[in-house]
Amino acid sequence: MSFTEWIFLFGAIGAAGPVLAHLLARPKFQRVPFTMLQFLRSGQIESRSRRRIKDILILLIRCLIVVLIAIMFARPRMLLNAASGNSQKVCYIGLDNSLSMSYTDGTGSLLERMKESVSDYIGSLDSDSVINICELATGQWIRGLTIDESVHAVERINISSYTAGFDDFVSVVRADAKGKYSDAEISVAVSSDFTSAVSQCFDKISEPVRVDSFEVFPIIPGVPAVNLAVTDAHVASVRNGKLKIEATVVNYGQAVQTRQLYAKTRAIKSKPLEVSLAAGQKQVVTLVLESGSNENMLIVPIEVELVEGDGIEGDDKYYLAASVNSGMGHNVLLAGNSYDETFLLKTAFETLSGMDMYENASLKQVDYNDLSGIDIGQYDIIMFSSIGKVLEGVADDLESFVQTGGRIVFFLTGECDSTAVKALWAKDILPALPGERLSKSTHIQAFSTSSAVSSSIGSDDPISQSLLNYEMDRVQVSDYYKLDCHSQGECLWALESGDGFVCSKELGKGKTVIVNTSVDDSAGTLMKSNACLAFCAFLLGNEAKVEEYSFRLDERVRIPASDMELRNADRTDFQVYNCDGQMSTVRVSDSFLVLNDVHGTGWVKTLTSPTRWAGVNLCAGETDMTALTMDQIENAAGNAFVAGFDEKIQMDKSSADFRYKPLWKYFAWVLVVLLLLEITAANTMKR
Amino acid sequence: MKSSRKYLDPQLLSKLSNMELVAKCAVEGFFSGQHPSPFHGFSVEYSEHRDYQPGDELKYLDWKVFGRSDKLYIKQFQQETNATVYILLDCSKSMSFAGEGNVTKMDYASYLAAALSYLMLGQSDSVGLYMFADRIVKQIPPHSKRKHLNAILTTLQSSSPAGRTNLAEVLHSVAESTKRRGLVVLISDLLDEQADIYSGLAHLKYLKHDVIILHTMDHQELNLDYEGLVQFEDVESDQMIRTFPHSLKEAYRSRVREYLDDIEKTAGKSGIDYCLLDTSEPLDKALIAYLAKRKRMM
Repeated sequence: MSFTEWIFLFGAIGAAGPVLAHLLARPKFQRVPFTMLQFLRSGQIESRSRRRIKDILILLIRCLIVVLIAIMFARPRMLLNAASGNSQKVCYIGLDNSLSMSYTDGTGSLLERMKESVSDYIGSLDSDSVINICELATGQWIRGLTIDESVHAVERINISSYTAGFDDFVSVVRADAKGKYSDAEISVAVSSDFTSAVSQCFDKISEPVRVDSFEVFPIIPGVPAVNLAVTDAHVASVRNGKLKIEATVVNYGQAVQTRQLYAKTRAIKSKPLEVSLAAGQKQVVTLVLESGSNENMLIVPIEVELVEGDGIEGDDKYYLAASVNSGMGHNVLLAGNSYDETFLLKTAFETLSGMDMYENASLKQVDYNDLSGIDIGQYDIIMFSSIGKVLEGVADDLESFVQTGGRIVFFLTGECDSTAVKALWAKDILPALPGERLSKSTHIQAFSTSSAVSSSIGSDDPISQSLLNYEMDRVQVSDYYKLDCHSQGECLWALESGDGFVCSKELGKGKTVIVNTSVDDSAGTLMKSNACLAFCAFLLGNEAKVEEYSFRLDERVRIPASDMELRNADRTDFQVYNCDGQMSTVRVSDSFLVLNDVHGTGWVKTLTSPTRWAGVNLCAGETDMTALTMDQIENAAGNAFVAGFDEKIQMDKSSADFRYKPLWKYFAWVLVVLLLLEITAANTMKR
Repeated sequence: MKSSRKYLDPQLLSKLSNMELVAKCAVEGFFSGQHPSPFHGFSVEYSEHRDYQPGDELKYLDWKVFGRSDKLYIKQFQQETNATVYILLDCSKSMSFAGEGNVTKMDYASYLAAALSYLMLGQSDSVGLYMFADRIVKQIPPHSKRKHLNAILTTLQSSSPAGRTNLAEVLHSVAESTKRRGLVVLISDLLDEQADIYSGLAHLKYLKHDVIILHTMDHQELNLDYEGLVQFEDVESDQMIRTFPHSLKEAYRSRVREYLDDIEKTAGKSGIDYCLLDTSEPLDKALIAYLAKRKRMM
């Protein structure tokens, strides 16, 4: 027996109290010789010696009470001998029923093999064992089973799309080992394919649980695994009725594979592309869906799918819901040291606003002196004719402006303020850092060689075409900065000297652009030329606004609420279809319908018209069939459970997971009995 | 007063001068006296007639009856004799008990024994004294001479209470040692097992002794009038009990009443005279009241 708070044992000195009280506070009474004691209460008659014994007994009881209280405060505990043979036998079996266990090869599915293996294990257990089974992917427990019941329970286990998790399994075993089954002989068995995802789950467990025996049953494909998975997809661009979808395909198997990949909506299907990947290789494939119109699209369900099956079909499809809002808003703010400085830009923009796609555009000019009084949040694009000192004061506002989807274009002049540059650079707003000012002449690179620009606008776009037709290399730049591009920035257009001409950088949902010349210098040349509109449009940008609703199983699914749902945001009875086709009730939170559990992968859709969709996909790495070695498996599992009762345990008894049996309850019961005894004895003896 | 006459109170003796203690049943004596004898003969009081048997003295023939009926009858007379009185005095430790302001039960019993001795010797009866605790510790054989009183008084005065009570043993012992039927006066607090006491008394009655029980009890023994926390310590053993007697008083009195009633009833059934004497009451009053009552019952 040991004590957690042994310092309280000094409280046992308090036992001296009753002894002193016994010696000092003897009761006062009158002694009377008498003859007829038998006529007094017969039960009270006692001899003098017996009386003395009772006195000592009650004193002992009182001392014991004090000592017991001290012991209880010291929290006694007993280190159990794990080798005890007569204790109850409790078995915890963790079964991985995640999607990777559905892998099927010539010898059948991993799940079926796991069931056979575990059934054999259960059959080898003692007949009086209490068996608890946990489905690791769903976290469901079936507890207190006999051997026959366990075998049937194992047979009924099905595949779940969720990733196997060990936190709940380990914590339940830990709690039972310390509490309910602290006296029992605990054995743990885990059966899984031990993919890298499972290994990561084990790594997250900070402290292993000590049990009497621990076994792992790795279920690994007999031949090198064959599995290709679409792990990610998103809409790269939407232009002229074409949706460019970038899909990530990974070879999670152990052999080279060639498959075809396509994307489809409910109405259209992309041209299949062949994908050939070596083991462990990843590739981003661009698929084009011809939507046939340039109009805004509500949420559309897009499925990116690999043709033909492999070991696991569940990871061959990726669900992506996207809404397309063509063209950014063109509410433009022109800010400069003077109105004259931004005159050319204003003229170009006014010309541009005569075109159809800019017919709703608006423009406001503002002097730097008045900038602080402007609410920049109401604009979509801000153009600064230079980086003046005034920008230092509004750096925070500019950062939040870009983060929330705004676009800023900076022109560089000789009056570039270094403190403002530093402030903007610190906020990651500037796509490139202006360095040394170079007073030499160079030319802008011919536009046709700039794939970045063509991809930014679109090479088949009419505006882009006019820019291509212009002889860009004739535009001379005589006074410019040496630009140091941001690590996350991109040089869209370069000078012939090799320095950047136009650099851009994404920040949050927005974008910033820096033009390495003043508005009225080289850029002014462009503005005055036939390429004016094209260059202006290039600066303003023409990206379609795409919202994607694609989630992982471990994320909370959010679908934008309709106007009707927003009006009744306090209601909680909006119905949606889950991934398994069942309806469930959801609530509106922050303009979104929020679903906590979607029952697997696939589509979640609203019942209202038009239907709104959200795609739910597997967690990252779930079907990675890269096999671990047995040593790696044992090391990983060792993070969760440790078996046996060896000398190492004896040396380090302070570890929280050693099986100490708390004894305070027993002391508490003895204390209660002693208290009752003391009360009875004291009452009887009138002390 | 001589020191040996401590227990002979003149006032009491004067009050007893007109009283007599007579045996209810026949007692065997050598001399004529006030007590009925089991023998027939020399007395003047007619008893009965019986058939003549050869060898009977002719002087006892009732010639008048022979003249009338021509049959021979012997005329018998009741003999009156003196009695042998056995005074059994309990001198166990419990007799030393005395409540507040009272004499000890032993003293009270000694006064009683002395007075009875005086009274009986005055009637020419033989008086013997047996002092006992768990056995007979002192014994004065019965004698009828007046000077025998001195021996009794000296013995009473020299005795002090000691030992535990074993009444049954003593009664059996007395019953076996007495040669003649007589009057047995038991003066005791009767603190022994009731069954044993009854057994001893039955033995005496079987031998046709006239038995009188003078049960001496202290007022506190009868009423338990103590206050506060009291530790009662048994005078004959090391037993003790610590209690608040006030809370037990009613139950105690009830138990004592039952006990006394039981003794009285059992004694009555056996033809034993029972008299409870409270030591807080004057001895003469109690004794005279008892003797008067006994005389009426004769």
